[in-house]
Amino acid sequence: MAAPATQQIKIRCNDEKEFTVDRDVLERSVLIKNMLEDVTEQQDAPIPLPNVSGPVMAKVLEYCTHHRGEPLPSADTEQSQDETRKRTTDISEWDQKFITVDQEMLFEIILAANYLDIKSLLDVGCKTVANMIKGKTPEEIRKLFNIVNDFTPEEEAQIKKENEWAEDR
Amino acid sequence: MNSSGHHLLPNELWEHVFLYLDYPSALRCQQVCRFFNSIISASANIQYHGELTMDGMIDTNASNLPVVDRLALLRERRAAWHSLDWQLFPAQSFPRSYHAYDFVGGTFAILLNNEFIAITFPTKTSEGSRKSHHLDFAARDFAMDPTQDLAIFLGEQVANDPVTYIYVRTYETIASHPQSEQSRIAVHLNERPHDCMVQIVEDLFAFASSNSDESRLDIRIWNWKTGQIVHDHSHLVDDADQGRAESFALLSSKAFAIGIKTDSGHISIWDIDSGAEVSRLCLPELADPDEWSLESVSVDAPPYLAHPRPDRTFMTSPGHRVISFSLTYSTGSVDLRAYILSDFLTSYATPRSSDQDIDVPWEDWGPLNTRVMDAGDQDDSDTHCQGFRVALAADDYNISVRILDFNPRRPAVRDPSPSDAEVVSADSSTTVSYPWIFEKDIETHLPYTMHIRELPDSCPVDVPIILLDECHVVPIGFLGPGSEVDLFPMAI
Repeated sequence: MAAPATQQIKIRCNDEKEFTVDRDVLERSVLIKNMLEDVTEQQDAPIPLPNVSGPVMAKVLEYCTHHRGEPLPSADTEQSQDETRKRTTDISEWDQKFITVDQEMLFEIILAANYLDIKSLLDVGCKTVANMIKGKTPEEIRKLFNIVNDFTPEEEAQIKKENEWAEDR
Repeated sequence: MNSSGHHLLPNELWEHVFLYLDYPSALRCQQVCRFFNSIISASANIQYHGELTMDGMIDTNASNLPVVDRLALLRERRAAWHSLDWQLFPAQSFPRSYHAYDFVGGTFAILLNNEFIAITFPTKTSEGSRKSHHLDFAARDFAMDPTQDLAIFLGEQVANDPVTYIYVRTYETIASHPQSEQSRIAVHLNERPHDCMVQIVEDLFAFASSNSDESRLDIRIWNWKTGQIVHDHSHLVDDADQGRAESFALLSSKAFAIGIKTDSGHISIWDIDSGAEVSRLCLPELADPDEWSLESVSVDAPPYLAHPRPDRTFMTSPGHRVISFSLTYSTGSVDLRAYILSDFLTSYATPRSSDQDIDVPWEDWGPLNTRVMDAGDQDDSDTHCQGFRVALAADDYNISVRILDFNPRRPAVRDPSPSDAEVVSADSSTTVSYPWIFEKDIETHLPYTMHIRELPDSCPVDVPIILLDECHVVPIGFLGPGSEVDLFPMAI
């Protein structure tokens, strides 16, 4: 049960599915946070989120509820992390369990996190995809994501040759 | 279905994913399809971080340069080390009566009794400087870490006084260090050490000293911030069965190594927290120790910087250092260098359960993780290491420098072909064979690349020592006119 002072916000997904959520949970999304700050008067109409479906939003809200109250990264740290981050792919235990979903849902969550501007969720999603790719051969990666090799044999050989220097010695 | 990965994520999100990959994995993605290839080849971020890791470097987080420019700088630097493309700067001199010198992170410092001179060499883009401080005490040796604004001096022992002082000062002004609770630490010594050294790693500093007949080596480690001694090894090493401690190197804030002379010798690895010896890496077995013996084991460890220098865009990753062991057999008739990566040595520093054997036979660790070479006619002082590079003066009549690079990789297609430098790559094993000394030939595999280039004509004929840092090669000449020692800074 939410404390009485907590403001409830209504959102509507692209499949008409609606959620009523505590404001601080929704504000994990920088997009929604900025929208709410722009609105001065109380509004009853739900916020439309045309790029997110109900099932994906339910997952995203699960994430936001678990992480409510944690500090949001400031624009500054975000910038420097982006440029020089230690590219660790460690994911916390809860997040790991949370992101154990089928591939389609994983990509949907990443797209939603990007659209809603939830940096930490975007990172968890991208790290998960990176972990799936790590150590695999190009052919295994193609199989993983159902990608067709569209290189000519000559192009493929050329890239392989250019990249030889970085292969394990 | 769209067949090239577009359907899953837009470009910028794929880039985000690829940034979490190690570079070889990212490059394998480049071979998946045109779409991935175009994202990866267009991303300066992926290239920069990937190539940085390949080069054993880390970003200092201190630069405002855009990633594209950092990438260009990184490639330029790599190409310059590849071709030894250096820029000469005027020679600098200091009196030959010096007590000690050190070259750390671009700064050369000399101790002359109670004068401390710090020379920062010019780089291709910045001016150099030279400043001198008067010390209010007579000092014998020092160590410094300019990134912690720290210089630690070993005071000269006053006759018959059993107490010697160690002074913890700032590097910039030689004032008491603000982070240090004790600006002067007293050490009790029974006699004036024959040989001594001070070494700094992060919050710790070590003082190693040998007695007059060099029969024992005392090692003491302090936390310089608190002034507390964290390891006192001055009573543990004179047990004849354990062999004689010959040389010492702090590997990290957690571990140190001692070169031990026993029959065949070993490198003893200690864990500082528990104060326990945790591994003994045995050196190659001797054929007949009574006939041909190991005479000495000395160590050269590169300087350790706790923090990135604010004026540098990238730096060598701190664990990525090559440690050089000089092994002398049979009264100098055979002189070998064994190069070992510091990361490898520290991997043996984790405490083991008490029933585990701490001896590691040479065959189990040496061949794959060292490179043993003949030292030729060079003596101990000739080896200077920085990061994963070692500089050697050539031992022939062509006055040239040899840079051994222990972070080798195959040349990238875009790497320039070397200009005046000769490049020797050693991916395969090499063998050192002295059948009358060693039971077996010493075959070692640690990969390296060697770059050789003749020194400019302005350098004197006799250059026994060549110093280096991340962007300098500095020959030192002791045969200049008068009583001066000359430095010949060359910026890479």
